[in-house]
Amino acid sequence: MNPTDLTLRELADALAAGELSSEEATRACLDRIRATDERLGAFLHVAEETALARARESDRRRREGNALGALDGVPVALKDNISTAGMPTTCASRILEGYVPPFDATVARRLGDAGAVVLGKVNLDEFAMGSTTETSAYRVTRNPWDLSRSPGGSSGGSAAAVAARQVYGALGTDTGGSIRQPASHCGVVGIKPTYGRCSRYGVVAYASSLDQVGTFGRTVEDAAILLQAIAGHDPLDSTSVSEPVPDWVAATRGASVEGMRLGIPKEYFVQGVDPEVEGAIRAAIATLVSLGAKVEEISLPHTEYAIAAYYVVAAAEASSNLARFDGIRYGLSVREGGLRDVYLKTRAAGFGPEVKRRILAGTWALSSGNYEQYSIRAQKVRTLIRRDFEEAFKRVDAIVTPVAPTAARRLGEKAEDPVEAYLADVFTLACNLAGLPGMSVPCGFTSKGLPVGMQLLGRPMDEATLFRVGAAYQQATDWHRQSPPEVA
Amino acid sequence: MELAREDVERAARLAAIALDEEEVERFRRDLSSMVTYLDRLLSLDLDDVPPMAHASAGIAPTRSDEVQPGLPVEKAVANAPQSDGPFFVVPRIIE
Amino acid sequence: MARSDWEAVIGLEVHAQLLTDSKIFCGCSTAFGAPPNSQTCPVCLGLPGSLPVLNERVVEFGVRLGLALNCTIREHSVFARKNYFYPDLPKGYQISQHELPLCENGHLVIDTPEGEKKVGIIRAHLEEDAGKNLHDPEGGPSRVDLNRAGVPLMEIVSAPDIRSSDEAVEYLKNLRSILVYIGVNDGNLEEGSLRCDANVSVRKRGETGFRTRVEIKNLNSFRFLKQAIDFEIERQIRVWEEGGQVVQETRLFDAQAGVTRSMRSKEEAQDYRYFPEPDLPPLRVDEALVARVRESLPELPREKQARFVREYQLSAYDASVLVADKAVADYYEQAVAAYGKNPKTVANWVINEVLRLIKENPEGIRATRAEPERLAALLRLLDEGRINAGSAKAILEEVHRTGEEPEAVMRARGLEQVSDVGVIEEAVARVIAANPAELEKYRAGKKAVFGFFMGQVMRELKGQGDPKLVSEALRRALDS
Repeated sequence: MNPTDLTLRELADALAAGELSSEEATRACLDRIRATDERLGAFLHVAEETALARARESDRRRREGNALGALDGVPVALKDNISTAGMPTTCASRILEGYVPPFDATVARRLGDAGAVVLGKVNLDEFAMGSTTETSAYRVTRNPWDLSRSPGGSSGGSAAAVAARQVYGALGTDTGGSIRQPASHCGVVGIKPTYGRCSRYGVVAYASSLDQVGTFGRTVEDAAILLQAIAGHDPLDSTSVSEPVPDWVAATRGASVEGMRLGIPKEYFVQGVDPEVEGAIRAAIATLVSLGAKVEEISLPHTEYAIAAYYVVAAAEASSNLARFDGIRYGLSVREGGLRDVYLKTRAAGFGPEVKRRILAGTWALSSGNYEQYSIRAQKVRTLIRRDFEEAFKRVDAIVTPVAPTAARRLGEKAEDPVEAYLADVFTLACNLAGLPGMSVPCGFTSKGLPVGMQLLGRPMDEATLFRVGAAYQQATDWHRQSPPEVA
Repeated sequence: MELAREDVERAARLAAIALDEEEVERFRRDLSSMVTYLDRLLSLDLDDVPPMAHASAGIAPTRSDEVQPGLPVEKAVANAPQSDGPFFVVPRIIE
Repeated sequence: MARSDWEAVIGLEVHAQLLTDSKIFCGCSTAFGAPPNSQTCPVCLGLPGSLPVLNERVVEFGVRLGLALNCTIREHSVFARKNYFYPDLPKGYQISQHELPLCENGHLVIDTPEGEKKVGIIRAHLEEDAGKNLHDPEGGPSRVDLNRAGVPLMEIVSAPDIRSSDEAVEYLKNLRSILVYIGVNDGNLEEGSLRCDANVSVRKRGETGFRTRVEIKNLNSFRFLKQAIDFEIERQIRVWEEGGQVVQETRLFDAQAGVTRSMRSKEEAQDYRYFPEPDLPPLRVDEALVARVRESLPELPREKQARFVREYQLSAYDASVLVADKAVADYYEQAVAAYGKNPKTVANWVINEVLRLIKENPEGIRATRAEPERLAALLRLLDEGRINAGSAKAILEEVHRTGEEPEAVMRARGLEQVSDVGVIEEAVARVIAANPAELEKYRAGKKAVFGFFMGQVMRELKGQGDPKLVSEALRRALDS
């Protein structure tokens, strides 16, 4: 049996029992990356030397009786919009080609403090803007279940790497669904915690009031172990919350949904959802009912406005966050002409068309004349969407929905109209607008063998309920134990 | 709602991104399509709804006024496309 | 051309660096003069992923400044991004405050020939400073130093209540004085820790609306402020009178030529696209903080000046000289308390002697070793007639340098005044005997010769004669 077949929890147990060393596990992952990544395209940077050094350090700690915890010696990957000191961080953009941060993101530092072995940086849509990972300026990432299809996005590299067993877990970011949707498309667990749970310090900002770091794992417990290690207040992030982090890993043990009330929002089960996807979700709900949960129909009436509100808010914040990429202190710099030319030409050459589109849209939405009409209104709609959830959570403990209307799309298959493409985000956006935690759990496959995930949404700060529901579901099912045949 | 070329060009100037003719027209179409979609927001009665400008309900935390070590100057300019010793270099700034 | 039918409408925008140890959103030092880019970190460099965290002392200083300017302090104020591209602005936006500033609706009182005038202060808000662009005088590339990026600023916006360049200077002087008094700014216009821009427009007297206004930047002295405003007023009046339109623009003051010049104009007015800063939740300033800061405010210059006039019977002018520097005012009061007698005497000595001795010294009154108690002791010696005014000045100069007790200096230098009438009469007798010709002239009616005799007797007494006693003795001897 290959060490890479283990889950993160199984690896941690094996390391603790001395059955396996971190160096062996790390080498197994590196071998697997070597064998599969040319086809899969998940990694932008593999840090082989540093990883092996860290693995050996971990093994030495363990021999000396100073093992740090479940993550000590476990190989993981980080989405390439998370700053890693001394390791390139490109956000999959040409404008950051060659940029090596002089500091670690807090979440990266916490993983390091926990002894995790960072194997490298994985692919994303450029600046996390997209839902297929196809806008990466560097390479194409493929879905391990069908290499002609996209892994989803923007955290496509993270999801694919975990699904393909190149790493035991990965960090991603989620602004409008960028963890949950690729998790669903790749058949792994992905969680976006409550806004403010994980520090954004060092995470390259897309939309500051929507971005959150989250985790990918093969199982709900794996995702919990990773999230546990990185979550918690950070004095370097003024938007991080002070609430103490509960023991989420414990929540996944012996989890039960007995008596739990699950809400099924009618606005999420509409025309346009692939019948096989809807079928898988409904079957999952039935499973949860058989485990003792109660379901009721709820309404989230402002769902249809979520896309418009998201689009304005995200684009507006992004247009400002990306102004720092100006060719002066780091990254690409086109030095032809005067000062103004440096800005104009660097940004023209460095940003891809999707990023440009969003910057232009955001700039437009913030312009005097449009700000009141669009930006303020979008902020108000955000309030309404949050209120919809507050109302719903008076009656239910968690909400169950599809993650995406379809399974993974073929690479290169893009809707001509950008708004059509954005419709694919409709189920995941509201969660970011309201700042709620959301998780995707594998719940079946289409007839083409493509994974389908179900989305669980919870109250603010209530990741524990999501972990409980997800874990209980995984105790009763084995979708998560299946491996993608294409990268066997 | 149809946006004019000028709207796109103005946004591009403010965002400091050079666009060629084809891009201006492409983005004009894209943004027009987006704005038409956004106009759905205009149908809502939002007079009594407070805008949610911040994602969490908290107030700004503060730190104490103590000097902390920062980056040594070599690291500060390490990624600079053009530098002159400790300085970042840019084409001549005309006031 | 009649200027009197035109009226100037002026508002001043002042940016004041706040004297905290670290920057507003990160822990880098704010110390002036460090080697370039040696006081930077991911936050103030605008590295991707960096985030701002507010300095609590900046908030306290902001509240202090707002209270000192009679503003209302908002319980909830919001930071906002002001978006534009410039090399000294690392993030491509400045974190400032826009719709909901920390302080509003204050005022500052100035003196004008027509009496006291209240100049409104519309708002004062917190923001971060930009870095420094260094230009190459030979036209080569420019260099950027980000040490100053992130230094805390307060932007203070006056109402357009100012009507002349003199009033503008008075406003700036008063504002500067208050800022230094409350310890939030060092008042240094030349070095740029205090910066002033002027918004100038004109209108016909009686007109109620405002005409187009022009912003003038680069006014780093009181003199330039006055010159620039005067020039601009004239320029605008001429434009209107010639049938033209004043263009809304930003102009720079060219100190060499004494004129304002149009800046290389941008094609359009900047659209800063302000929106609330998503990385910073709203700032909350509670009643307790405001009360605590209010308690800790020192007496402000105007109040102190009025009190000096009242309590110490000083002229408004003398009081204003003493309160201009808080340390001097404190010194004066300590000296008055130590002296216990006529405060006007103390005032004269501080203004005419002590301030003269410390003039040009960057440390100000801290540079003197003539502590207030020493000055008081000196004045007592004078009262007792043990020294005369001339000796007192000499003693003070030495005390200023060495810090020694005045009495000790007096003895060491033999400056004790001669008050022994016998000794004086002997000196008088000797001088009269030695100058028979002058005696004749005096007796003949030339009373001016008296001065000659006074000088001679004082010389005999090595300058230490009590002038009053000498004069009396001389008169007795001459008129007998």
